Amino acid sequence: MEFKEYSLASGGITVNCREGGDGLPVVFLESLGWGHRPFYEALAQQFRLFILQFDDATEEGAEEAARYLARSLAGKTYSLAGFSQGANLALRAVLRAPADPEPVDALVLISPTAVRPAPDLPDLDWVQWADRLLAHKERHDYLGGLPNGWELAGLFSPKASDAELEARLSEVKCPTLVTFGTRDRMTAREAPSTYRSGIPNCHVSLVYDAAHLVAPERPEALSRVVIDFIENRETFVVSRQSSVINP
Amino acid sequence: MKASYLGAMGYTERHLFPEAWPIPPAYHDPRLSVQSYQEGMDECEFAEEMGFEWVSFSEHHYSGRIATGNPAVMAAAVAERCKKVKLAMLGPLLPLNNPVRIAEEMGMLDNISDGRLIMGFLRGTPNEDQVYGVNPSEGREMLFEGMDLIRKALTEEQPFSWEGRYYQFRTVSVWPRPVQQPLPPCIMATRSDDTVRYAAENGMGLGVSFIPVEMMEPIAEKYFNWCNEAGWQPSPDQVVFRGNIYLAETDQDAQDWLHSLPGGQPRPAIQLQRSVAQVVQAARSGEEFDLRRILAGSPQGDVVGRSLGLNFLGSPDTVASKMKEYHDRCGVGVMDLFFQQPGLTHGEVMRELELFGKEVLPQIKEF
Repeated sequence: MEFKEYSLASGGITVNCREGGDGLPVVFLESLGWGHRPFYEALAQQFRLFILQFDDATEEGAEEAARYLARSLAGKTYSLAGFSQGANLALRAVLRAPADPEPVDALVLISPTAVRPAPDLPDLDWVQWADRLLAHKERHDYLGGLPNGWELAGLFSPKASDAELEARLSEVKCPTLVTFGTRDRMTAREAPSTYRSGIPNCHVSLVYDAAHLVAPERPEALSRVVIDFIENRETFVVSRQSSVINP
Repeated sequence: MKASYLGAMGYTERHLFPEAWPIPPAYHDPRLSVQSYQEGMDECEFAEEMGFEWVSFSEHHYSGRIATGNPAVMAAAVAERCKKVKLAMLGPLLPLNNPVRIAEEMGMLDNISDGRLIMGFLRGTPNEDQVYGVNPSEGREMLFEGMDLIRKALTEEQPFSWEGRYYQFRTVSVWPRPVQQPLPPCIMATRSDDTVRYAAENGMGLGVSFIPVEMMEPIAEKYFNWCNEAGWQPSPDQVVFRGNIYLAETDQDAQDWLHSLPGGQPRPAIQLQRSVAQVVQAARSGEEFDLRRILAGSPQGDVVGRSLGLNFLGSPDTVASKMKEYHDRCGVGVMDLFFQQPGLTHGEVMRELELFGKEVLPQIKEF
């Protein structure tokens, strides 16, 4: 799968964009360079995928930039997704400027941390951070470009929790999928149910045996549920898999 | 130490069964079967009266020796007969079952018993992979995933979907939730390192079955060490041993009974065609095997199986002393006992229960 790569700017914020695939437009917000190519390739097999990489997803004006660029690239309606800080940005972008009609027809938040982050974040070295972000040591290599611990501690600090955002979850109007790894240690245990009870049309998906970085740990499982949801929205709960063994 | 009665509900004429598993349904007489369940429940009730604090149930299939293919059905019936004992599900065979269904059954049992449920999880004996067509090489991973899913299903407050390796459910919202919050006590029935470690790391108890004390000791030692590493110490109720027992007035009476059995020992409970047993074993352990050679070396009627032996055999003092060894060397706090030995009548089991209640329980309660 070939991705076309270019830079875009909006409101003084420059983002790197990768584009690939055909079909319904999906805009994926990424930060910290943690995107996972096999996962993106699986999405691009089904959709026209735009990956917007923000250097700092918490930067002032990032929501407006994300929203403007998504609309410019994807058209009137699109699905919006994001991972970790990118998921926080996607949620903030949806809540920043509610529109009628809402251009985001499906919102996918993968391992968001804005609401109910993990309560304890002690000083951690590189290996400890890797252990916290990945459930399997054999995948530590994936974190070659891990920002230093100090930066991560700031990003995942309980202080980064956005109380206003949690209070406004009920304002999300589009069908929403929130996914977490069952071994995620970057959010509090009650985070999934907080989203599920806060957002009116929200589905929570737990991906077994993955920690915070779900995509590199269970790419097939994650892409399957994300694709199912974007294609079918809330009807993704209805199985269409045949049980026939021999007709 | 507490005593637990294994509610096996054995078919009354189980001593007439053929050697090889599965037992053909043709051996089933509905009249005797109804009688067997009634007698089995009478035994549970009497065990409670005698001072047993747990009654346990175990999933086994296609054999009337332990006639509880669905242990939840049995536990529900006994819950109405016995109002004090803990109901220990030791347990459902997770790779054979839908974990969400098991979670629902656990939730119901904890509610109808008003919080007396103890949950246990097992992989199952090698023959039982065949019952619902489970690939023996996948059972271990299915057990781990099933346990995580059940515990999540019983504790999550909002509906969720599950994207597993072996299970996918797009809507999980188990009702009722357990009475015991956040979860009833959980026991992992195992001997292998990876599952013992899982139990320790997840605050679960340890259940070990049928092996001699010297074999259980290193398993228990690892379990306690790993619990310590995980920052907790198990209570006595969290170390369970399941053993075979034959209790008599005297040691000589017990030996006489044993010698009266064909071959001088209880016969294997589960015997399989040699070829099937070898292929299952190889698949479970991930070994390569030469199927043609296995088939050639297993003529029709060549069945294999291992007698589990009797862990506790003798007079009350002898049995209590042996149980103390399990307590002292392995930290066992609950002794789960299989009384329905081959050839024993309901009356004989009831006499053993009475003797156990009067002469063994007072001793083992002291340690």
